[in-house]
Amino acid sequence: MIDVGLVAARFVHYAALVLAFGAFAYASFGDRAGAAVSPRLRRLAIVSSLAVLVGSLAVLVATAAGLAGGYGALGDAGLWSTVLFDTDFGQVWSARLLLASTLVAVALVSARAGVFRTAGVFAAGALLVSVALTGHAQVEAGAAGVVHRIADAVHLAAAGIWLGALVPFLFLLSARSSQESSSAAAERLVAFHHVGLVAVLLLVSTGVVNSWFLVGAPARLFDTAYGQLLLVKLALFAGMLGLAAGNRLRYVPALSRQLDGREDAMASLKRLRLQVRGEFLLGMLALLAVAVLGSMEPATESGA
Amino acid sequence: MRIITLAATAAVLVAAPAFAHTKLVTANPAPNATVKAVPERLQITFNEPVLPRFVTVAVTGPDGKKLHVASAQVDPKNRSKVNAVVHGFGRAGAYRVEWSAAGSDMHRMNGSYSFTLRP
Repeated sequence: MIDVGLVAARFVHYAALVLAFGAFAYASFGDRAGAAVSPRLRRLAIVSSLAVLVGSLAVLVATAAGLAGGYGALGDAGLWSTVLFDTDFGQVWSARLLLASTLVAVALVSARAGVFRTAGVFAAGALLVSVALTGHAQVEAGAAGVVHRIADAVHLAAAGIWLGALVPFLFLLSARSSQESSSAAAERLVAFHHVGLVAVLLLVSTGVVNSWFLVGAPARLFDTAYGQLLLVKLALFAGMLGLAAGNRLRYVPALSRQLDGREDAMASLKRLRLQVRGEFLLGMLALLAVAVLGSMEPATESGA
Repeated sequence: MRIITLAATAAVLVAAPAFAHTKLVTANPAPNATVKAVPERLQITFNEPVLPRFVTVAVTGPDGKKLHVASAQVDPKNRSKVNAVVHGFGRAGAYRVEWSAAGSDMHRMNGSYSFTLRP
């Protein structure tokens, strides 16, 4: 029953949004002067923005195909007039396509002019947070719906801040390692600890609220497919937390110590790269779980 | 700037349209009902307006054969209602109605119910 095309389209859209948001946010707030990683950040911003656009188009196409009963029916002009003019879904996604096109334009222009970076943060951030308007947070009406949507939006923003920062950090950690760039990497990782901690607290608290809406009773975590996949996602999250805690408590302090003492920090740098890569991989798998969960009947509805 | 962004985000989240999945609310003949007269038409009421292009209704008789559905149309005055004209009722027994429909969320939903004809 899972629509593979739709899941793939959603995953590309979500992953690209997180990467684009991270690239713009890092360029704006984290690394104004980091010349060593700027070209790679710019390329990341351009490629991920294009993927956001392609992904949002693919979501619209896959959803239309699901409605019409197959990809063969997509040539029908009547289908598209219904989708674009008679459905809220079509209108919401048309707006997203427009915003994604703006994001691509901003990414291309910001390669030349820094002021557009902030516009990129806003465009990518708006697209990311408004994913809350497109999914299961739309099912409840009234006050419960508002609470669920806000919790979902905060959850998305926190996930974007954490996951989005990982690739810029990898750029920083793998930049031609001079003493200077390694010190910069250590400094920024320490600075991000507080932001990361806030993101984790927000993810946990809003995750509990969302689960309450979508799962209901704890027993449904185990005896519905939706609940079981949510448990898989929680395990991935726990793995990310473990790696992040290792960085914070052990590897970043070790790197800082070695750099201060002018010791060889190569081993610590390598270990940190490995940890951050692992965090990123688990995060992408969590996004894949999210893409699948969006296509499943929430546990509160199944069997009802 | 930050306050404006937060306020705009909150406003959009609060005012956004709800994407509910299409669900059957009532039908005539009603699910699990027993009727004496052959129904002139089936009427299905959903929780939200449905898209006319994507409504289907199929009816299976007590002998397991499909009945002829002459038309299944959305009521132009109330787009949450679908009227289906079905030929071939007569034999006593259980009739199974299968529907599929989609609303503004573009998510095609399916369902079925049965009623019994006992003239």
